[in-house]
Amino acid sequence: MDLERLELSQVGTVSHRHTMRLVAGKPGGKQRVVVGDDLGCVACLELKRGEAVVVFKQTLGGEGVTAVATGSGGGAKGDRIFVAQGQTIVGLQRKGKQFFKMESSLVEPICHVSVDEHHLFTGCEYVYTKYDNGKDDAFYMCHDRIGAMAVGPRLSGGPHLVLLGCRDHVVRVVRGSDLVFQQRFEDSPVTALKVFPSAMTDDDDDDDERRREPCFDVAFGAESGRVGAMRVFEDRARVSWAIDDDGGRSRATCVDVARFFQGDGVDIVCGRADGRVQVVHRAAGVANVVFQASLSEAIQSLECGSVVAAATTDIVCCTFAGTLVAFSPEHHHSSSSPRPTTEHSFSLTAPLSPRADDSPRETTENKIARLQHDVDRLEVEVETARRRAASQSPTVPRLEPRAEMRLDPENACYVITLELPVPIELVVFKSSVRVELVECSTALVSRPRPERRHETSKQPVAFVCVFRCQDEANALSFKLRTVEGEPGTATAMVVARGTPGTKSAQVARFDVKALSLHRRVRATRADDRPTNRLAFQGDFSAQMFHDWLGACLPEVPPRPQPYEEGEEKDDDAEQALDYRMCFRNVYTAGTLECDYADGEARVRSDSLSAIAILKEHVSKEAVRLRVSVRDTVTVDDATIPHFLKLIDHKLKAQVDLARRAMLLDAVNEIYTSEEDPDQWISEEYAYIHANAANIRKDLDNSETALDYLVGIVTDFFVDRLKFAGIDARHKIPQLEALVRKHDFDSTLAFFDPSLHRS
Amino acid sequence: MQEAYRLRLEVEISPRVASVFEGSLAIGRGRQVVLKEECLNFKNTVTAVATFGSNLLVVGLPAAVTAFEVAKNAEIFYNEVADGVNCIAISSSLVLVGGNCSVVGFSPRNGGAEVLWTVAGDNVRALAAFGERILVGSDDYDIKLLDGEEPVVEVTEADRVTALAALSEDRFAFGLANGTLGVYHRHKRVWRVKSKHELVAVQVVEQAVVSGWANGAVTSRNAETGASLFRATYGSVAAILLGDLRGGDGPPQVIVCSRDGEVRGLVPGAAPPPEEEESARLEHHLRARKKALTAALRLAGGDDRSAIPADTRVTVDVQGLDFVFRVAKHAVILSLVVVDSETGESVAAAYPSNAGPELRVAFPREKKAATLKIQAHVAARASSDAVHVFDLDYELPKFCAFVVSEDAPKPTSFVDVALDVSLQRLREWVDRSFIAGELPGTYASGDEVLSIRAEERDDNRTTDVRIWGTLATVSEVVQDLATYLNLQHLETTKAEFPVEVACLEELLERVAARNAIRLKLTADMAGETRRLKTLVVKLEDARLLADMTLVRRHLAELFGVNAQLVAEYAKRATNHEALVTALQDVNKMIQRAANLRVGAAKARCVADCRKAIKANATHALAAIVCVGTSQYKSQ
Repeated sequence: MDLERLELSQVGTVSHRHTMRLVAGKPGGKQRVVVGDDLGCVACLELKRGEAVVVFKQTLGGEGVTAVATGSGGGAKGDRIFVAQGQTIVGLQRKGKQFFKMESSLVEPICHVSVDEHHLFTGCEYVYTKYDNGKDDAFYMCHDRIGAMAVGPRLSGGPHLVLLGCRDHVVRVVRGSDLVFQQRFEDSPVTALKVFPSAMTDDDDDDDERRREPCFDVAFGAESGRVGAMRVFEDRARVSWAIDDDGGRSRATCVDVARFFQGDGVDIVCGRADGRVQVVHRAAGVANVVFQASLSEAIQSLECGSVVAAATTDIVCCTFAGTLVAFSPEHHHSSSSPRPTTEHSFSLTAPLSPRADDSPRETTENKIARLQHDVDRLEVEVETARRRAASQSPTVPRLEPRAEMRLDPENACYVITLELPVPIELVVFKSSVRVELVECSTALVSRPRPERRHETSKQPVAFVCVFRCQDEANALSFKLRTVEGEPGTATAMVVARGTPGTKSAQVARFDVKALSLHRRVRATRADDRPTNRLAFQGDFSAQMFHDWLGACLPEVPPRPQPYEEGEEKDDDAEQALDYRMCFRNVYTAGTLECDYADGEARVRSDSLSAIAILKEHVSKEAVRLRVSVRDTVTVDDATIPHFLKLIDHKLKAQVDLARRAMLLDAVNEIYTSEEDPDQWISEEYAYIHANAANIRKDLDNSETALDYLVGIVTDFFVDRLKFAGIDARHKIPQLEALVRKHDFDSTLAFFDPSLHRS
Repeated sequence: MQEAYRLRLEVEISPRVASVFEGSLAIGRGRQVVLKEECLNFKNTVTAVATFGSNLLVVGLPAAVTAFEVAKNAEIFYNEVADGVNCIAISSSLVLVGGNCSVVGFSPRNGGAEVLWTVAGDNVRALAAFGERILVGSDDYDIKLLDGEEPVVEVTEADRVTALAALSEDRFAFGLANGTLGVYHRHKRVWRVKSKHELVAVQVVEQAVVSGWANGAVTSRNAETGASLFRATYGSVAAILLGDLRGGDGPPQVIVCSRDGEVRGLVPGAAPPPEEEESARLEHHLRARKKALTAALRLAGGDDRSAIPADTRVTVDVQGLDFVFRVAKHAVILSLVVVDSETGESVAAAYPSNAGPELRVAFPREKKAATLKIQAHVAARASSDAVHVFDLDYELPKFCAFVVSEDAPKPTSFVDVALDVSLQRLREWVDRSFIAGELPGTYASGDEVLSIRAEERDDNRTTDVRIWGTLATVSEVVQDLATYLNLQHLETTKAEFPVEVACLEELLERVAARNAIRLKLTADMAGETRRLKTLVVKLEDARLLADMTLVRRHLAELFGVNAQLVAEYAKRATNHEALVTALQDVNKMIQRAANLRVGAAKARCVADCRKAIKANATHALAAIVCVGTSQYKSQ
């Protein structure tokens, strides 16, 4: 598929998603683009001859715009604009006149807005509220953060079905104030939802089902990058299809549904956090990515509609830096008036018919001349503004960075993304706990040695790294692997490119939890792996214990979550407790299950290290709050070989890699000096020769990987012997030697406490 | 430029082991040199290939260089080169060989006689010639332009020198391992450009600099301005040659050899870059510019909460081995990044937890002048998220590693020079080359002590300078001083380096001993090899006779001899390594001794050292180092 990229306009930074929407323009004409930015400015633009013309521009003042919705809002034309700013919602008419204002009583900012006639739906951090003619009508509080909201049609005349995609991997479907049902997504939370327009269905073939039972289709996008569609019935939902993001597993920030190919399936358009826009075409049961473009800035909003001409289907997106870009099948400069729609059919193989009268060369020249003129004008303006700013006391421009630290379960590491509205010059990153830099492909990396005298006792400097960006990129992303054990903070100093004297930087901070490599999973009971047990008893409430867990583990919602209906309670001999959460370590695949209630908690894990870290943390917190807590640890000796086996294959891969890397040069010499060595050389060496480049690459990436693994084993060893009452820290070098030799049996034997009792 | 032809050879081409010979390519592969119609076999791995004149193939081996007239199948000369052969260049009359810290010139017209010898600071990886002028690039980042044996220009670059090409008598193009390409006119760098990949080859054709990178990029640039004339991407570049593979009498082509065996001939005459593409690029550039300016305009107004005092400045100071950065009150330095502007590498960075108005950072100091680009991040409070960025430059003097230390014991070795300048000029030099320099002054860097004293003679025109320190450091000080004062000639009045001289003598003894061992080992091995051959023949006889007992006995014996040979080889390898290191050390020592002098005196010192070593007159070396000339001639 061939879509032409069109730069529409540039607004201020856009930190929130869904702040750009398409709104009806003149009757029968093109749609307009309405966008709100972080400065509280709302602009409405219309495209005329390929150029964006401002219809109105309004500064609402105060905070930044957190969400924008369009709808009929009483009138029938669908040209009303609803702008959310923190807790306030403002309604604007097509010319920008304010006709409505509502202050919500909630403390959370409104991040999701949807309008259907006089119904107004809002989604905040945890709370969903519905207003009818400005009055509270319905309310629902989710257990975990809401990442996406979509309002479905009114099936069989009842109230609207509202879909809320939550952090805990669940899409909750709410009618009125009641939860109707929930749909679980195993791989990752849903981050974008969009109901199919009424004229479109996901699959035209199964009309039977639709006739039998009222239902509607919803497009979804997930944190793991997965995009697909599900069908929602009155009491249940079903994922119809989904495809993974092979090009980087980047979070889907927004989705929309369109039809680019007439009478042939549907297209789901998806914007991603890494700046890619994709069109997924599904026809005859097969979904394919048919178009992809990268804006290299996080896509915050995306909608499809007719912006370039009345009859086209264009994609309009708004990025974090406030760039508005359209992708259109129409060659915008070819003609000012839209062509008759009958001409407007095209297929995958044949892109649109060529342009009309004026030659392309001339248009390009005009375009460049115009751009040059704009640039010249801006240069003067910037210079004036600078001079004005220089006369005042030096201040730093507000450059809110978009900072994100996300656990990537596939690679068992954290991906840190830093983005500014202007190109980044460099980033200085430090962490108070040990971390390992796994990968950074786009910047020059240097690792200065942290100096002792730069530390404070509370905030040590365990890791410093400087990333110097090479090209004019607004975003920098790198991968880190944390070391479990100590909680800490990481700080990034993000320096924007600029002329000397007006350069500025911003600080972004991240928390690193003690058990940072754990990821919430639904259940871990499936296999019968041996587990160690840690039991607590004392004067604590379930909420307190829940908070303690939340301080050491990621993805813990603010309130404990009871068993869901239909979820099986523990069929263990022990009596099940009220609440439970399960986690899995993404690196070692060790599991952690926490069951707790008022006054009692049980933790089970096959990793002794996780048990030790949790025990230490809970004891520390209990002492701090003066709560008496007794803990008992039951070590199952079978977990030791089990846990060592879990990381054994990783260790083996590293040891093999190191050995192969050592042979690289020797094998290469044989190949250059001998005649046709493939005839007689051993398979292993032939493999090394054939994969030399890969081995080198892996080796570069895994410089510290072996050290990291050895670290895990030695930590495990110290923890194991600590539970046996032995301080064995001085034996670490001996163990290290065993691990590096990759001698599994001797390593295991070394874990026997009787060896170390003096 | 445009591609005139392309051919594919069925050999992998290693970097730099290719030459144009008699209208076709000569490529070294393992122990062979592959020619158009035949393969020449050598005793050892081929390390370099070159063509002298029209018909002489010059081949470098790990410890020898040989010239071969292929048509007559005649060896013109075979010379052992103890320092190894890293690269070969051809000047108007000589075959130049770059090895371990040395450059040797052989004259093929004189049966391969050694007529030139000079030293370098490290392994010589790049050589080029223009008439009688020689360009030498070594692993210690140095580039030298020599006129015969006399140095004309010496410059230090930012990384290992991987390629050199001469443009004229005093202009040349260079390439570095870090991907830098540039042109010098004598001491002055005319231009340079950088890339992420290693630069492999540089050639000059008609005042255009053609360069090839490890990632396969090939560019041609205007030698005067560095403006890009041509750009293409092929397979990873192994060599760029000048020559004619078409067999006609047309102009020579630029021949780009890729590692995978692909060979392309490029001829001048350009297809102009497609205009469409050009305008698209311009459009893209303008869009990016517009976007940046729009953002800048929006950001021109600031947030008052982040305000710091208007007159805030960051100052740099040196205390001991620390750099101290300070801001005036009401502000704190949150973090700091220091980049060497020459190498583009980050020298130091700090992001302390205890941010305050003062930040101390230790610098890894090298004996090298550098311009540091310092970026300090300053905010009103330690908890501020909005940060001001201050950029400042700091000139790090060459001897920044030396810190004034009054009580350090003065070293015993020293050099005396008499300079035709005033004391004031010397003071200026000290100020420029040291941090907080004093004259007279004693400096220490770790365990090393350097001391300088100067006395003006009564006529106020000449100053006697005595510099104490190790030979390595003192020689660098003398060179730096000479460059600063722009001296064309400098002779030492007195030099005493007893430790180094003793060391040199010991080194030479070690070289002699290692050489003796090598000869003995070779003899032993020859014997073993003979035994091996006989055994194989006996074994074969026994097998034909089907006498299995005998076969077994011979096999056992063979196994033993083989094991012995392997052991011998290991010994030989260790010995060879020790020998190479010792030779390298000797060369370095000569280089340093020469560096106590400037101009003709320096060249004479090198030549005399070489003569003394050749004549095995070790005792004379001490005199040469100290006095700068050989007295043994007169003996």
